[in-house]
Amino acid sequence: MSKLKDTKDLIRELAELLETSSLSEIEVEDEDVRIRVARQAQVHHVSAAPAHPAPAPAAAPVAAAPAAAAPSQGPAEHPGAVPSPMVGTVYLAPEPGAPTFVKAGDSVAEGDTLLIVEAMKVMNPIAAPRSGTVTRILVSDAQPIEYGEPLVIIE
Amino acid sequence: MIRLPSGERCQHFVSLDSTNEEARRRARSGEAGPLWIVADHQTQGRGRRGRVWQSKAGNLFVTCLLTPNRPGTERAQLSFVAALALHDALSYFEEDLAVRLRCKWPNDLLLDGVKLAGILLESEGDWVAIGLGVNLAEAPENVERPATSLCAALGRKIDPMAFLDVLSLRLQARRSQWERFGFEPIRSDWLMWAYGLGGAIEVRLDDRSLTGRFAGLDRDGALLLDLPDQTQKRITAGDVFPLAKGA
Repeated sequence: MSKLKDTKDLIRELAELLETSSLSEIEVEDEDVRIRVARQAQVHHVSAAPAHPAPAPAAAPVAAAPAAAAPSQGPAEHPGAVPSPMVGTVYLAPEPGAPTFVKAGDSVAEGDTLLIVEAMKVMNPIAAPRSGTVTRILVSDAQPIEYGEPLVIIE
Repeated sequence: MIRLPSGERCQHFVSLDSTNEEARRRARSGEAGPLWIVADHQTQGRGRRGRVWQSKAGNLFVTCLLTPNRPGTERAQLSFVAALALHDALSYFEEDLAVRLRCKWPNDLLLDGVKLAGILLESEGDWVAIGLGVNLAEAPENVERPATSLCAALGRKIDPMAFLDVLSLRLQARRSQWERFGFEPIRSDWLMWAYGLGGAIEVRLDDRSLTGRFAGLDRDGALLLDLPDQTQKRITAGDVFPLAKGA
């Protein structure tokens, strides 16, 4: 019983250590116990990052992002997620062929246009709800989207 | 002098970049609707997805700025409210025009299958700008699809301000119908005038195009497209072209 409690305490300590570190997992081994703590979401977040940096051709890294992020914790739960206020079709650029409003890695100020959602020929520019860095763009150009679907993540 | 429904205002400009752009500036500076912004000439008239809207003299270029007390998810319904108001206004000038006018999804007006007017809505926060371009006097030239004018159909020119008189009343009537009874009567009236309903259509999206049968209008205004593989697709944006002739 006390052994089990010790183990639980050890897990808690390791989890706290993991939280405050930049590590993605910690594994410790004793004579009779082996404990491994890892963070799922962060692992994917880190692995998704290299998909973004290449800025040229604009559409490619953006389109790659959702695929890389898919298996991880739902982006909708991410505290930095900006949800779509309506059902519609999303555009990353003001018109076909134009540069995108934002790309991953960009700093945005509150109120900056992130993208446009079109619903039945009503154009709705989606403004950044807060300042920060766009870490992920979760949608691709001209993609249909649902109400509440996360569009981008600002951290 | 324009006679507007009570409580509505109008600002008339000789020239503007775009009436929708002016509406946006007004809305951002806190002005509330209903406010009509009309220009004799636009230097940067725009259509969907960055397209240019030619501004021929004698045509109507107007935007109605509204601050509707409705959730953002219902805004798209105003596209159909506006199309019907424009259909009503155009029919006012000659009764038998009504049956020759069709609404192309979501909100272009066609006369005998040829484009007569276009509508582009822009929305942010709590406001919506309904931009309407009506070829009263002259059709634009060198456009991708042929266009026509009301003058060509009626044999006489309607003054833009006289047209706005009628349009403002019709839009108020359709808005009040929408506010009191919801989207359903708007939807069924729109379907009555729908262009290409039941027929084969092509829907051009930014990055691809789809063909199928125009099956109807969903509860939120999305176009229902029956695909060849027996599935149905909801379309919320795109340009519709009937594949067979006729409406």
